[in-house]
Amino acid sequence: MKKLHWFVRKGIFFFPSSIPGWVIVLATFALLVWLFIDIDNRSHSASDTLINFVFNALIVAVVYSLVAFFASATDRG
Amino acid sequence: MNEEKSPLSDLKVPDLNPESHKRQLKLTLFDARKSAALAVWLVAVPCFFLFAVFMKHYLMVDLHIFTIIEESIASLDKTIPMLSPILLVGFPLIAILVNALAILHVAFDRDRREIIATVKVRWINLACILLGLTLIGIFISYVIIENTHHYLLKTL
Repeated sequence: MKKLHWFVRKGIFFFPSSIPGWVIVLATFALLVWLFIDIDNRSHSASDTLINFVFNALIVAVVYSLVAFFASATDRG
Repeated sequence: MNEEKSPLSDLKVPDLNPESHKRQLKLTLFDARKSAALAVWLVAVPCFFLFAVFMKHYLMVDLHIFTIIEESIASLDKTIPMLSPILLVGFPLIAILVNALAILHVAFDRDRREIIATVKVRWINLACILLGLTLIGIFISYVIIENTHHYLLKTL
């Protein structure tokens, strides 16, 4: 199986290191913006929007980290 | 006595350490640090949910966090079926698996017909496994108690 090196891990964060990695990051940000607008249209207050957005953003971050985990270089130590 | 010095006398005798040949390169399936980083993200969602539950039901501080999360999960459940079990049990389960595979090395000894399992002592990974097991334990015990307490109350 070919190993992908699209991301680099620094601490608990995965940063893009190639074009496919950047495409995934941009798509993730676009999704987050769309989520924020969608939640803001449906919510009744600012706190409602923020709490809802943080929870949804957390789920998106988990999925992103999961993808980055399998598409990043291994730093054995 | 006139003893001639042997040309081989200066040679170093190899040190035969019987333990050294047993050492082997034990590669695991996943990188340990990377697995711990992923586990932090995977346990974040159930921890956030538990924090909201704790705030509402134990500290009696209702900032509508739990209600909003509940509504959010309910609305997401309509688009992605079985989302709540995936979030609350599936994610910690993945965290446990990834971290277990990062510290566990399994070898099969054909001569002795033995499976030799070695666990690397990496405290961060072990803590992630323990946290994942705790989260799964909490949610599964909640489901069991929620579905059986009616029967238990009737029998008592």
